[in-house]
Amino acid sequence: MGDSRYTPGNRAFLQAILARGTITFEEARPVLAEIFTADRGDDSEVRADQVTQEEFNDYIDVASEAASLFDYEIRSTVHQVTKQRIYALVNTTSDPQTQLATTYSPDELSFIKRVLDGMFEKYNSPRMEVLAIAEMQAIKLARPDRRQSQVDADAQTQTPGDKALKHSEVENVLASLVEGGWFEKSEEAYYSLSPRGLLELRPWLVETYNDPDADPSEWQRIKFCEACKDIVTIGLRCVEPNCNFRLHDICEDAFWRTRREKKCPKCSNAWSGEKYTGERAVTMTEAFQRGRRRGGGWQGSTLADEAIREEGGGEDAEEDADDPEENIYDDE
Amino acid sequence: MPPSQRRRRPVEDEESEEDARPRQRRNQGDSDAEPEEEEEASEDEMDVDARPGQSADDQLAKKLVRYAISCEYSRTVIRRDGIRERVLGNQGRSFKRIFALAQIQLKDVWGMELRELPVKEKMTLQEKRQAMKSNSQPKLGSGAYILSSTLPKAYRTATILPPSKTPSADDEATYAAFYTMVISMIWLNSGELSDQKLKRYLTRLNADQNVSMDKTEIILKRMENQRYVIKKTDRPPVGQDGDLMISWHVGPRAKEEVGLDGVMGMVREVYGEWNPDLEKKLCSSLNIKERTAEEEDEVVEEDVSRRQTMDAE
Ligand SMILES: [Zn+2]
Ligand SMILES: [Zn+2]
Repeated sequence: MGDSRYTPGNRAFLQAILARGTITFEEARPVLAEIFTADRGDDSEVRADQVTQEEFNDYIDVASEAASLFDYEIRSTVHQVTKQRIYALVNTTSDPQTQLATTYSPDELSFIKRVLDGMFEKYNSPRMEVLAIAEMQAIKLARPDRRQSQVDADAQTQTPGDKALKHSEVENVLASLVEGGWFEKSEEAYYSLSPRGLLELRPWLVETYNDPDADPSEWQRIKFCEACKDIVTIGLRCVEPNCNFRLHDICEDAFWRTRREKKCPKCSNAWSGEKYTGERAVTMTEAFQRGRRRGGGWQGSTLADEAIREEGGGEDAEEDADDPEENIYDDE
Repeated sequence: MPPSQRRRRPVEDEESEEDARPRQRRNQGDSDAEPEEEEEASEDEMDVDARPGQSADDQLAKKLVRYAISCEYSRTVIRRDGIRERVLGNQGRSFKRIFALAQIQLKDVWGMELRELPVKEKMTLQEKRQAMKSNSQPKLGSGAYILSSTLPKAYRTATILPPSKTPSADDEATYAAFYTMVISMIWLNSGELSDQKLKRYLTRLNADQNVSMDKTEIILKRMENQRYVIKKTDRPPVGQDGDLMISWHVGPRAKEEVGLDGVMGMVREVYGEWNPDLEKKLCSSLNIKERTAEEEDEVVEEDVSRRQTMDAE
């Protein structure tokens, strides 16, 4: 770099981000403390609590600028649940297929696309926006769905990618997506896109799953928080199924504090605060809670599917139910 | 401190409006689109500060860096074949030149370089016999690379560079402990451990089904993918009955990252109390003194050279 002040410390910080995929201020403090200590090169030590937000921002800026030479960028978002601001090294030029193609085979890629379609189409309907996929549901996607093949038309079609994955292969791919920082896995064994995944995929998600010609009043698959404008995959929703008004849990209080009444600004329905977007759309239902009381965890049954059917959500949940599904638990 | 630069605004200020609307997939500003010229880049044409410039070579080198980084991001091994296929395309013959240029860019901006992993050893006895029969020439280099830091030692601490990114530090620590242990077991068994024997060890450690959160099978698979271990399946010789023979071997990444030092450290740690007698036993288990078997000899030499590279920096 032309700037003579691009130091080993800046390079080390870039590596620290690359190694982690994402970083928060709190995570970065001990890192920067060691970098500053190394910069000094004497016996004096910089402590983590001495690292300021300002210094952190400077290092992020420099790292982002350096990475931009390679079409990467450091973007930030707030975690929808933990509320932490997360910084991620994001690829600015390519879509997920291209990025994931370095790691996954065509068959695995087409499985991943089916999982994403599961999250954003199959399990994301006006009545039920799960925007996540239960492990058992993902395993059922091991086999390509012929009926859905037109959906994949915009994907890289020249690749074959229509071979079914084995149970163990599905588990491997899911585990590596979590490990690679694309997915997060919840305690209820739901997979959803991680903050980094959302940062990287946001333009692609909108392009792929939303209808650009839809009327503003029409329900869209990808929606944004009215308060912070970031994508919502875990949050709260308006009681009206076709309304697009959404808030993050963490944005809710501040949003209503500035209003006189808790009414949806889009459709004027009263705000309940108890309608969910994300896996709670399933796990907070009567059917799911009842099932859990019966002792059927996600492992034992297709509780999630049951709950979805009962709520009338999921586009073809019915259909799936009578599918004489081959025994997916038999491996080879 | 770095110079204060353009303050980065949080993403919602500058982008969400734009991103909320669907937009055309941007063109890959890569060399794909560019006319490919078969020019010999002379040394002095290289960008001194390694900023990816506009020449076709620069663009290819940048593409190679991007490929290496995306592999590293997902912890997959960077392969020469992969570079040829996904980066160079029909420019395959310019490998050396582009590779050298990419190394400069990597070093200058990322403080890293591509290091070739050691050659895969001849593994099973059967393979060894076959290799002896055919008297095959050893290949140069393994064709597999990992990114490693070129920064001064002070910047290569575990705090700055954790072994890898996994959801939690606990998982990571468990994983690192587990693969170090498995590698040690293989190494102490002369570099080859049968599947049955591995399973027996794991059962004894109560790790035959699960390791922390994950299934053992998945963890082993991950270790295989990341080339900490190599799983080898052997068919019985033609005309003989018998089952498939599965065996486990030390993978190239283990040699780079863990090495003999790591194994010895692990063993000493496990024993707690250490004495010269145990040290002697350990050395003989690892064939460090004897150096009779060529296989172990190779391992030791590789390890020594590994340490020398580290010291040289
Ligand atoms: Zn919000
Ligand atoms: Zn509404």
